Amino acid sequence: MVGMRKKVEQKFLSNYQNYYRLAYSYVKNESDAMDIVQESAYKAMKEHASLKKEEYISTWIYRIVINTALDYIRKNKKEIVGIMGEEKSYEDTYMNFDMMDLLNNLEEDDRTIIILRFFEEEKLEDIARITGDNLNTVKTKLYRSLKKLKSNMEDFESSEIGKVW
Amino acid sequence: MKKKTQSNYIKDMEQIKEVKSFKDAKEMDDLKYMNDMKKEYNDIIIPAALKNKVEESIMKGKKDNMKKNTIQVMKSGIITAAAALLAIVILANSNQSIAHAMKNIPIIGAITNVVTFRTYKDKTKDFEANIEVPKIETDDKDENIKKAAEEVNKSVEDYTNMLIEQYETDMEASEGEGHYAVDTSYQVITDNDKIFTLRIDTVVAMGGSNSFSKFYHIDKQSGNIFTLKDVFKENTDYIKVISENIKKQMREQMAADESITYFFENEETKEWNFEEIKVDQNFYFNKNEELVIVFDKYEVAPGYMGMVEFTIPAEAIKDIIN
Repeated sequence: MVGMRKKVEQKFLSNYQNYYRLAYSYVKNESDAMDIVQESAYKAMKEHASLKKEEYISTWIYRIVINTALDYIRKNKKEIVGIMGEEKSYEDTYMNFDMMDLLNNLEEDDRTIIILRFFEEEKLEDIARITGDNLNTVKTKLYRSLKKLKSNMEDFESSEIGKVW
Repeated sequence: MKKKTQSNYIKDMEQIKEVKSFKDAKEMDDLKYMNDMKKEYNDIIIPAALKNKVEESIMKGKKDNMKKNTIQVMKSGIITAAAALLAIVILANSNQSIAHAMKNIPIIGAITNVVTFRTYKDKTKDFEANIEVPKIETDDKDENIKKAAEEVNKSVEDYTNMLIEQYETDMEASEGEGHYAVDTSYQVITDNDKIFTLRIDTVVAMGGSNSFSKFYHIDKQSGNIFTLKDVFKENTDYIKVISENIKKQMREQMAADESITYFFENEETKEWNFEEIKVDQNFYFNKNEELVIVFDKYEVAPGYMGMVEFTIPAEAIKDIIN
């Protein structure tokens, strides 16, 4: 039992940045994202006993983060700011905020699957455990989201702005 | 918005090289935007104060975990009472079913009846469930068939209990909020002197919907329960033979009809394109005694295709079938 507790703690401490980014993708601002990560850390440590298998520590924590983010949004019903670029300043990037807008155009659960799959490189089976969907549902959502992203991307590229860019 | 300069173009090319495991320019193009998004996602700034806050929360969580253990005993007492109450409700339900709502399906020439043992019904706010639990009743003199029927009944009960448990867990977790409907029904697909096949279909509707089924088969001549593997001679590669035939059908269907899509020879879904059937893939024998392979919704095709079936021509498997 102590072993599991230590492992959960270590996993959280080495990955809290990833959890932060994921939380950020839900609430789009720094202070809410921090609250969510803190609360997730608390929950993970408090409830570590419910976790039986070491190989599921990562997916279990992701699940906590996502559920905490969703609860947060539900309870606060805040107006979530859409554009991400506000807090950063890039000198040398050719990219603008449209890339993340593409992502933000997706439904929450679709976006989460894209993030977990392509940015966090999780396996599909693990994503199914994290989201509580069955594997086939995850595949379908992924398939559908990729299609949507691709078509939005094509729209952007063929638009006036896209041609200049 | 900046126009692309030469240095940016070079950056593009370097980023493109980063992307692993794809083969041609078209894929590169498609995945390039994914890399761009990934870069911007990874550029989300982590606040300096976060680390300390996380460490503090971890400490607090550890502390509260130790406090929590003392109230565990009281909690399990409450859970037991609730479970007992639920069991009583189900029993009352089942007596009623048998007395009044019994669905008797006598099949001409057959010696088994399948009845609705009970129907689990629930409606809590936006959650509803209607789960029929079938039971095979046989007055067959054959002891073997009786035994097989009992085994199937037990298996069916475990399966439907699992569905009920899943429903209840989800319902309690969200306190009945959010549309969610489970509907489980059954049919006897085959009942002749050779085999008996029972099919249980479940549709779960919540936002989108999911459909899946489970089949149970009894070989009447031997009185044994059998699965797909038992249909074929030992040590034959039935998985490969059947899968190749299905692939052929998928290819033909997609070529003939644009509205048909399978996860096969499809660039966009290449990670989960159909490779082969499962060892215990769902199946049944149709009226012409041909083998039909059944896939759950989303298993080999997008949702709009629903559950898909493939009839395997006798020619394809005549050498390996029992």
